[in-house]
Amino acid sequence: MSAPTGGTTRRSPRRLRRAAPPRLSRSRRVALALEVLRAYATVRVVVRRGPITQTVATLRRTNTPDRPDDPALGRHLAWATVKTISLLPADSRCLMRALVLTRVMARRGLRSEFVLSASTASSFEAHAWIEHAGAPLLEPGGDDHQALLRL
Amino acid sequence: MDPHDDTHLLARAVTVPAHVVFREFPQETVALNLDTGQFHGLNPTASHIVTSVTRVGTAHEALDGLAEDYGIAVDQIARSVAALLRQLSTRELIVLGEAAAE
Repeated sequence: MSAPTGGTTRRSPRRLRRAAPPRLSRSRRVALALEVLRAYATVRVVVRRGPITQTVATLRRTNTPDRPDDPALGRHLAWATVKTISLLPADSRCLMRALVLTRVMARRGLRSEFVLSASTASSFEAHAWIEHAGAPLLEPGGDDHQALLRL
Repeated sequence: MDPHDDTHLLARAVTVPAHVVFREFPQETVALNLDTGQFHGLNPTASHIVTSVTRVGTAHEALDGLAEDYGIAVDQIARSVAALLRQLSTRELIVLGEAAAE
């Protein structure tokens, strides 16, 4: 195995600002879902090839020029990623969500920060999420978590 | 010199590689090996030993302080430290370099 495993959905003092479901046409919703599914397929391949640092770097490699921070778009993409992956009868843990969102954001030219944390408060648990413009786009680790890695 | 000998092992430089992250928690220390994707838990004693050894560079140099910290003989702590270093090295959480010249 090449990537850290584990998951939790504990809350953090830095609350996740949930995006209101975007009003998109059916065709745009389908297109976005397909984009997430393509990213998911890419992640499934890339994650087996090497360590997490290499995985994240590979997923960020696109020809899309960088665009300015756009928290609203980031929240929208995070919402679409979680919604789409949750429907899959496959791995939808925090790590997979974070990696898929990393890919989706990179394809849009949006910067993202991959965060991996752990806690030993009751029992060991690890958690991964994505931040953009200093705010979490996916549920962050809880109060008792410490960041192990920021990429 | 027998590379499995404790004396040789304790004289080797000990470093934490770039692909390993240690974080201290109240109950234990978590080590994440980014290359293997594995998390490891170290109890407070093991964590203290790793911190002491990596701070001074070799286990040999840290033994006196550790023996004092735990109130036991240097020979006794040396065996425990050597065993711990072997385990950590096997899990690629530390790198054992060349033995310091006598």
